[in-house]
Amino acid sequence: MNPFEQSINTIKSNPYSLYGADLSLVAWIVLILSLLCIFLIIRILVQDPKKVAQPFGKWLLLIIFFIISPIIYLLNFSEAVEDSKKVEFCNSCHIMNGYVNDVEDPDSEYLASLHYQYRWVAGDQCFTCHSDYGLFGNAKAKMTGIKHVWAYYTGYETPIELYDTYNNGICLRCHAPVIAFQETEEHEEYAEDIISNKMSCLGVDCHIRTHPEEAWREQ
Amino acid sequence: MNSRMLPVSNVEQGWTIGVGWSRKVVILASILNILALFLIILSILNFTPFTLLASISIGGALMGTAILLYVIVVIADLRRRGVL
Repeated sequence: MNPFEQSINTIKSNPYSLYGADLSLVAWIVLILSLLCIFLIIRILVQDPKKVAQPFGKWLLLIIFFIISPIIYLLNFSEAVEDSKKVEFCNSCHIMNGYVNDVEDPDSEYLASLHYQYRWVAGDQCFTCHSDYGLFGNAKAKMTGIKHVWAYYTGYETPIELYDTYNNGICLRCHAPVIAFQETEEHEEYAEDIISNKMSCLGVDCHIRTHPEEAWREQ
Repeated sequence: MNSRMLPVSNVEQGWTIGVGWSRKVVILASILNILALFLIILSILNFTPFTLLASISIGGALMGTAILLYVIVVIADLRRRGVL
């Protein structure tokens, strides 16, 4: 590892990690609150069941059920949504191993790998290139992700493919403002077709080899 | 109506939640809530697509049911006290 990479990893290193699990501060809060709630509920129920019927037990359970538990759930939800954007999370499904291995391979010349290696996409590379723009794009990507998890456990067809032609808008949200992109002859000539998705960026004559075709086999 | 006049089970000056079925419902709600919290803890310590979905969907359903059960008990208690 070169010194630059090492310095970045030092900055990135999480002070809250626990037994290999990188926990953020929010995750720690959720963990501690959850354990506290479980402890209090068990203490009330098991140690002294009569306390359920006393004002102290009643109010404590009321606070746990209506305030602390929903807060725990919402914090965990927001944390999970953020963490599920990470490349490591995508790689936790074996079918993705080949794709992520290629992306992380410094010698690979596939389009996705170049975007990753040169950090043309700064972070969360899988999610960034496979989700549409805006809030609904994120929500749609998450819903599709749930479908993928379901398919992962119930079975799916191989080779895996995109549902539809790749949306040029995802490429354009980064590339469109770049002068070099705008001034490329082919881009100028087919601008309308590219913008309207009539012509895909990832085509036979344009930008090919996004991922290795056989990557899904590598599990 | 004075709460002392109500069948307050074995708890003196207590809360009517201790009476019969309502105590069982509170215990059930507590168990469901504990299960939901366990799923959340599991998803934090072992973050995989499966634990993530389990904590959000099953955990959410369990927690929602627990809250609903507790609401039912509270309403029943208030009705018994004549507040509602």
